[in-house]
This record gives sequence, structure tokens and C-alpha cells, in this order.
Amino acid sequence: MSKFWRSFMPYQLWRFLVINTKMYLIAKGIIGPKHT
Amino acid sequence: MKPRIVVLGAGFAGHTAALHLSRILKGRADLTVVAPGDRFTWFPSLIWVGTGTMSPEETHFELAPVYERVGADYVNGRAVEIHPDVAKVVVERADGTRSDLSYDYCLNATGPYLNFAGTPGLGPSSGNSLSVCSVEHAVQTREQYLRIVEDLKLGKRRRLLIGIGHPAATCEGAAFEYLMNVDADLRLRGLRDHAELTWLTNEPEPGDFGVDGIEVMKHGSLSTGASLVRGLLDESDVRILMSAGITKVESGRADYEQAGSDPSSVDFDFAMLIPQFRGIPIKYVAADGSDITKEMTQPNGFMNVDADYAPKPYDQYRGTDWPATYRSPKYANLYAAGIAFAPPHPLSKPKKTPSGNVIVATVPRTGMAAGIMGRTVAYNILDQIEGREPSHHARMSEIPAACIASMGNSFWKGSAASIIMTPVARDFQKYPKYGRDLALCDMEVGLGGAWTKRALHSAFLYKLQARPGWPLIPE
Repeated sequence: MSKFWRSFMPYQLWRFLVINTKMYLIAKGIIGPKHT
Repeated sequence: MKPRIVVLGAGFAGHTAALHLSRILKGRADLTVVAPGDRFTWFPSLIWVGTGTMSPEETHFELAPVYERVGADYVNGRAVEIHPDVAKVVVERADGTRSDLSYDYCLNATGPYLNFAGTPGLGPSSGNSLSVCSVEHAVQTREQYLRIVEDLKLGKRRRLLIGIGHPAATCEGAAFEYLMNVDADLRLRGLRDHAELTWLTNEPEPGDFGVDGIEVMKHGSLSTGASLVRGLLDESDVRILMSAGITKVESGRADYEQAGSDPSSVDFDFAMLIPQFRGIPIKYVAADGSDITKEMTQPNGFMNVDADYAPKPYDQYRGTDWPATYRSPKYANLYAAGIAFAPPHPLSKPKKTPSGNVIVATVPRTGMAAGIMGRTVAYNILDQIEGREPSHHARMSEIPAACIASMGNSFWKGSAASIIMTPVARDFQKYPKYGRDLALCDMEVGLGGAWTKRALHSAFLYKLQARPGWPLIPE
């Protein structure tokens, strides 16, 4: 990814939402393998 | 009589276990937490303390009020002996007195012993290097770093060595974050041109981080953590020394051995080097008073649990080698989680130097992984209290990990690598091609990652103080 996209705020806000949603769902075991 | 549960340690694994035990048992057991400090520290943010971009007070909170709120007893002390046959722990309290604590269930989550002595000359107290492994160390590192900044302002050239201080240490991610935060901070100050940064690590390739790296599928093509991290290091003009193990640190000079090369040395004006982690020295004592520590632990001092410790070559490692319940194979009421359990083997491929020394990035098991283990043990203890065998499992080869590697703590100009991997330990039986489910792996760099890192700092300090709704925040 180019430096531009790495700091372009609207794109980064979108990626922030996507990555955090993905992390939350995986950490909660809602998607991916069940654990605990 | 209520069952008695003793949790040794109040880090990611121990504190998480204690919170879940108090939540799920709801007063049906007497819970005691023994921890040598009086506060919980959010270690991932100490890299910011070490560059002066966060105050130390923002990284920790007092434990006693939290345990009072959740109905647990708190002992400010450390476990010095475990007597598993008679189910008691000998605790040395902060005032120096010793007392016994009997238990029905015990979790050893005592974390790491920072083995600075494992490398001659390493460490901030009696050695020649710095560390960010505790609040005190990070503050010390910040003072030294700010002196370097003053020198750079005067136009002096300065050499900064950042990385790993032992051939078999772990926590490469934290050292990498510190390196990239120093780089970002010096750029913001307009001083980067005068500083030479060197990254010295025991990883076999950039971005290994002790978990054998990561691959992700982006828009149909495969990209690797190695290429991403190498690109970032090159972009930042950092000198890279891979597969390197430091053997001695003198004032201003570190000797190291490297796979495939003759021994060499690197000069520095400032060195932040992570030490090797060992198990906290605890003596295990049998009913007849004999010392059974060697039967209960691996040579590195970490406690044996339900892992497969049979030695085997790298290409025969299996996902099922990793422990599932974190229970001792000898004592049904004793567990170990987080850094305190003994991993069966590394995840990274070990390398040898020409002199025969093994260079290997050992397995990180802090943060999210430790929290998941702590929660798993809490549920397994509940199983046992209710008369069942432990049914909850969290092998490293089945749990995910999210890692946000900070590369600057500025809201507008910061950056971080956001990494998700499932599972942490590759399992080629389950995922034959890469050992991981690439649909559940992700990795990217940008400002959004800096926001995530900061958001996690706040969210976890909220959660771990057992504030309202804390169970909604996952480990």
C-alpha cells in the first residue's frame, strides 16, 4: 500500500472500522474456530 | 465450605482469570489473588513511555480496589513455594513475612522472570542496556532516550541499537514497536538524519515475531509479513541484523553471533534490548518435603501442563503438541497459563551459528493469548467445582491473536501494523497449505492502526478494572 493510502484519513477510517469489526468477531469466537 | 481458589499473578492471564472466576462463580468460591506489585500494568503501552509520548501513570491502575469490587481477596506478595500434594502455596508478602495459603484450585500465572543475567552485561541495573519490560525500566529508558534527543539537537550523530538481548528471547514485537516509535518520534522532531538505527533480532526473517511470520491473501494475491516488515525497515533506513543472538554487552558495544556468519559486534550510544524470559523461580515441594521442581517444570523454569513435551524435529511439530486445558499432568487442581506455562517447542525455525549456538525467537504468549488462556482456566475450574472434567480448551493452534504493532503514537501522523492471525501456532493437519486459515488472517499498515492501538489501550484498561459491561470486551 502506498504512503498516500496509509495516511489518507477517510480510507483509514474505513479500514479502522473493518479491521476492528473483524478482530472483535474473531476474538468473540463469532467467526472462526471456537475457543474456550 | 466454599472451594478456595488461589491465582498467582495479576498480569494478562492471572487477572483475566480472576475477573472471570469472580463473574462466573458469583460468590460460590473464595478467590485470592497473589501478586507482587500493587498495580496492573498495560504492558503494550510501555513502548510509548520509553519514547516519552505517554506518561507512566496512564499505563496502570491499582489492583486492590478492583479485587474489592469483584469480591476477591488480594495479597501483595509472591509465591515462593507450591506444595501440590498438600495443596498449599507459601507466599512471601511485601513486608517480608511468609504465610501459607491452602487451595482447592490454583492457577500459576506468575509471568516472566526477566533474565538479564542470561546475557553478560545486559540490563539497566547492573548492565549496559535498557529495557521496556516494566514501568520502571521504561521510565529509565525514556530518560536516556531524551538525552540522546538533546545530543541530536546539538548536531551530534548518535547510534541507537534496538532489539533482542538474548539468542532465545521472545517479545520481538515489543522491541520492533519501540524501534519504529523511536524512528517516528525522531522524524517528528526533525532529528532522524543524525541518528543511525540498528534492528538486531533473533528472528530468522523480518516480521517473524516468534510465530513463524504471517501470510495474508489480499485481492487474490499472497503477501507476507516478511515483505511488509522488510519494506517498513528499508523505508525507515534501519540497518537490519537478522538471526542474531547477543552474547555480551559492554559499555557502548554489543557482541553477537549470527547464523551463517562469524561473531561480530555493533557499537551504540543507546541500546534497548529485551532480555530472555524464564519462569519465576518457585520451588515445588512434595509431601515428604523433597524438591520436585525439576519434575514440575522445564529447564527454563516454566511449568509443565498438558502439552506434548517429547523432543521432535521442526518438521514434525503438530498443533496437538500445544496444551488444551493448561492443567498440570500430575495434579488435577493445578494450572499454569500465560507466560508461566511451558511451551512444547518454538514456532519459529531455529538456526545455528557457526559455533553451534541456537538462535531462535521463542513463542510470545502475552496479551490476547494469555487473556484467552486465563479465561479458559477459569471455566475449567468452574467445570471441576461443578463435578465435571475440564471441557474448555484454547490450544495455541486453535486460538486467534490480534497484534497491533505501533509505529508512532500521533493521532494525525501515527501509524501501526494491524495483524490478525488464526491460529497462532500453525496447524498443518487442519490447514494443510499454510497451517492457518487465511480467511481469518489480515495485515495492513496505516494511520487506522494507530487509532486501534490507542483504542485498545483505553478499552482494556476499562475492561480490566471490571467496569460495567467489561465482559463485552473480548480478551
